[in-house]
Amino acid sequence: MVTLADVANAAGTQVEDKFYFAKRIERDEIGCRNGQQMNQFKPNKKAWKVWRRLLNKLCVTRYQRRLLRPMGRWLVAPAQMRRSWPFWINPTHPEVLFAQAAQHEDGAFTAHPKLMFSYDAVASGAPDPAVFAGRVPVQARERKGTFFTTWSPLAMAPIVAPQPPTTFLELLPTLDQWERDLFDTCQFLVPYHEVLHIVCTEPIMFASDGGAASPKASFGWVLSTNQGQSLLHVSGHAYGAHSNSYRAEGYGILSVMRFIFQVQSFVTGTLSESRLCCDNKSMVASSHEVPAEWKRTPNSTQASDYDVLAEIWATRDLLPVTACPAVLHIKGHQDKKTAYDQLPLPAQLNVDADKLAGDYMTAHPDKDYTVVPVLPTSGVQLHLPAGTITYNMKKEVSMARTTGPMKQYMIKKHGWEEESLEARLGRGNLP
Amino acid sequence: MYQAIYHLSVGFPLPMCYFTFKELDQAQKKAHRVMVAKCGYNRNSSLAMLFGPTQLGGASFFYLYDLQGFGQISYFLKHWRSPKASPDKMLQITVSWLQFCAGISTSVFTDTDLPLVYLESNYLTSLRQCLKDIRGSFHLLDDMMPPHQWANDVYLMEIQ
Repeated sequence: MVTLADVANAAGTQVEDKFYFAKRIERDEIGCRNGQQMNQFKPNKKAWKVWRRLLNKLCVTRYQRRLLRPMGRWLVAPAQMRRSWPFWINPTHPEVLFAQAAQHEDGAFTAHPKLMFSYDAVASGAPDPAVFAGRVPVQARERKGTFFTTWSPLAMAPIVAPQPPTTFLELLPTLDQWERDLFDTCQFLVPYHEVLHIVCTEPIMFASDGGAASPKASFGWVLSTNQGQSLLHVSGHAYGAHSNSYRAEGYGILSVMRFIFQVQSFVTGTLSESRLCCDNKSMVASSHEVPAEWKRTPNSTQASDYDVLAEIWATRDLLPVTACPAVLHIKGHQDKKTAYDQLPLPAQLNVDADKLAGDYMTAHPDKDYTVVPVLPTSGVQLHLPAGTITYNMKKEVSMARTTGPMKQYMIKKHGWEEESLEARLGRGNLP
Repeated sequence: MYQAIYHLSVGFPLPMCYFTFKELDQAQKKAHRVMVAKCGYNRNSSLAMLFGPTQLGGASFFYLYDLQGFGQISYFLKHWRSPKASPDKMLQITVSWLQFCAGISTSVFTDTDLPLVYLESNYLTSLRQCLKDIRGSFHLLDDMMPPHQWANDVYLMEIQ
């Protein structure tokens, strides 16, 4: 029993007697149909007293066991219901009452329109979606061989499928938060349809760069034709408790990969070949190709910034070989020694991407960068008060418990105020 | 010797254990006093300083409990992130069962301050306690909470 739905009747108006009085309950009737079977000691009298007191709180009176707040519409499809229900009805055609019929020899379930036959009250297995589509459980009782319903249930909450997006910009709001953040600032420099045409017909070039000024980090990337026509500018933040430029570069590459993956759904043909230039040699080497299966051990998941790398590899796996960009290393900040106009195109694009990343950081001074949204491939993130830990976990975890007492010790020993200690720590001025 | 031998030998089995802080402190206390003296520190030095991080001028000795906690966190993360192997499947099943038993609307590893004394899994309960001690939490993509079945549905364990 997890929620009130597990003890309420099919109408959602009352706590069922069998749960209140702890009568013998068939395994199929408790809320653990999906393979989770209880195995526990028999509760004592005191436990049952607490249980009934809890249920009394939910009911108008302890005798009727009518719920103070009846249930509304069903939110889940029959296959996701935790309990099996014997009677079903289609609320739009209330004259047709369905019961789960005896199991056929071939294991299939059928439904009886007249409810005149015995039904399998302890049927197991998930309901067949075809048979139960549009139907919801109903409370029914038998009198002289006929079944009566006393209450007509509400129809299941309709699941309205949104219109499929037709452009990349329409697609953005429908993406998950972590993916939406990869395109936080997205500026098309030529009309959208022209960009789509170019990415299918001409070789293209991406240049990505990331920057970090602790504790902030951001990335930016540019899409251009090989002739130097800029098509798209994208920038966003690189999350992490102690973000660095390596992670920011990783976010940049991930953003490019996700762009290619998403834009594929809007083009009819295949994407033309592309190159991705990045000035971080280490990240280029890490993201260039997916490591062999034997290298992807559980221990390898503890590498620095594994979450971003794993997402890059997973996205690469989803792309067709022809659409996957060749990741190349170029020297960064070449404009320091040579004028921008005289630089080759990849170097110029790298300068543009670097500027985008820097501008993004300047434009969002108050943004909280410390909490990383969970990326689907990694599936879990460790959060500490400083933020999400993406590297050097051992040091961070050990410091999390010992730093507080040490600070208190120093405050007490030297008679400092807490602000004074923090200021000294900031300056590196400790005795 | 402290880092190269003691740390590795006592630390090897700890990630698979679920001792309390008190139990591990009792086990560590006597040997620790001797080792502190051999490392050149006064036996009566403040524990906060002895166990404090080097960055703040501490001596960076370690509690066995911290070693166990880091091991548990590390094992959880690496197995959760590689969902194809058998230990990883077992972990997912155990977490699913723990969440089912908890009967609350938040992940048991996200809200670690909520006292859940009735949880069954000793190992995961110990991991949860460790997260609480460092004021940490896990954010899981699939937190395995049993969903609401009806509108107005409530989790029984959250009824005040």
